[in-house]
Amino acid sequence: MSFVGTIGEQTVNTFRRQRHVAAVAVTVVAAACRMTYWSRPIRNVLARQILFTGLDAVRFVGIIALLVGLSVVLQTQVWFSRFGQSSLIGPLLVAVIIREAGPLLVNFLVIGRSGTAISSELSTMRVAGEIRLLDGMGLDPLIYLVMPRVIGVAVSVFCLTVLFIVLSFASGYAGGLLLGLNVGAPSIFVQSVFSAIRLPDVLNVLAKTFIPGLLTGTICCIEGLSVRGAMTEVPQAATRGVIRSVAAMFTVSVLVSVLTYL
Amino acid sequence: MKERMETETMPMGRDRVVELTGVTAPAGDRYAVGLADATLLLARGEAAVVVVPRTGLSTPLTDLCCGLEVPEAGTVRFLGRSWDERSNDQVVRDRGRIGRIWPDPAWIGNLDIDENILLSQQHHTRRAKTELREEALTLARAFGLDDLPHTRPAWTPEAIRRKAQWVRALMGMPALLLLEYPDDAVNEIDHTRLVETVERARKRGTAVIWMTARRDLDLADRTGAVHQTELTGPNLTWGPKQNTILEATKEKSCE
Repeated sequence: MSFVGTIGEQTVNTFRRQRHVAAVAVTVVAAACRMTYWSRPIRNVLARQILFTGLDAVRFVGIIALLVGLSVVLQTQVWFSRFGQSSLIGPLLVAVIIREAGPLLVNFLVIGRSGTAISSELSTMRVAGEIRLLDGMGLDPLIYLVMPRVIGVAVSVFCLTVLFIVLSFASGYAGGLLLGLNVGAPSIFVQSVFSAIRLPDVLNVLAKTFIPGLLTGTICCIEGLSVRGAMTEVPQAATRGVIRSVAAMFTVSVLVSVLTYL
Repeated sequence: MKERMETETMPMGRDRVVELTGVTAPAGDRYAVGLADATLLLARGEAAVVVVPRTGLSTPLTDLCCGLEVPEAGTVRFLGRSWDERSNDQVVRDRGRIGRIWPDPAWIGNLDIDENILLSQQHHTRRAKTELREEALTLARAFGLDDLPHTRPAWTPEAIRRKAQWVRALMGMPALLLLEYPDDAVNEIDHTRLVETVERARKRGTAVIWMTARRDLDLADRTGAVHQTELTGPNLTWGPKQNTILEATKEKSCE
């Protein structure tokens, strides 16, 4: 095949793969809206997924948020105070932390921590024949395995991002106090941040957490279930899941940012 | 290899549970023996015993019965309807009415054995968990277990896992029981317990297909089977209760 032909084939394959991911994600969301699908075992899987992806990650995300707060928020306060531009601290922090850094970092952490786990778990189940077993018992793998994981990851990413934002602001402010900077009263700091938050910022956070979360869950499930039968495929599936989730996350992030500023 | 099963015409009015009509399913990669133009009919409370040597002679019969395999030709009906006439929701719901003892693997590895046992019933019914646990415990005790195992499958002894599979298959009065080699390496006491429990289920209306490798047991008599056939290598021999004709040639070497 010619060079151009190869590029064309890869482009078509990529497009097909993305279309497949989008179709599965939409199907999962549509299925999640039907209460009849949320049987007791599926609610249990959702609870376990939120526990693993959300609750178990709180400490790790908290530490990262504290460090980001100390480095970004603190420096912002220092430099803007020096230039007498304290009124711009709120809008800048909203743009940096709420719009970009918070969702991006949390998505990264969730992909690295839970995306790999989902791909590995499902591919191991596939190799062990457990997917066929579920099918035989009348448990649709899409409903029992994929739906609660995808929804669980999306909800966890959103909750962790909110936690990340709150903790990074709090640690930045506390760091400024400890270093003796002129950070002002806590109420003034909170007010300056809150007054800078607009509806597009809220929509931005929602879009940059729920959509990449849905895509991360979907991609990792698809990669996990795409394994055919060899144990050696398990780490390959996990790697593919991570790479494609990161690509999807950046794509969504850029698109949402562009739409926000239009 | 060609296999052929025929059965006498079932009188009208009997509730048909599973019905294979002219089913052809090649062996493919998954099975050692395919089916060709196979016909089998089981009504409520009827049983069929199929004696098949375990090693390498897997057939798509049970997978066809629960719609996991699509026949190349012919139809497989469960409770009067072909699997391919059902929507996806109906397929999964009706599979919940089939109890099955699988060869290997048979367990969801990240759930405890008791969670595995209750999984299907919890998904398909609204029965209270205490009620389900009570039923499972009753069955477990009928098979000589003191309690439901609360450990992961990988950490549970094989003998207990086997009995737990019996419990899981019989939960919730299934319309059809597919038993694939449930009696491998089972002592006579446990085998009798299993036969008696299956017999009780059959008398309540469950249809049973029992695949076994043990030719020494007069299973057809003990389970009240209306069909019995035996597959030995490339040839089929007929049990005393034959009203099923099965012609087979081997597609793969199984020795």
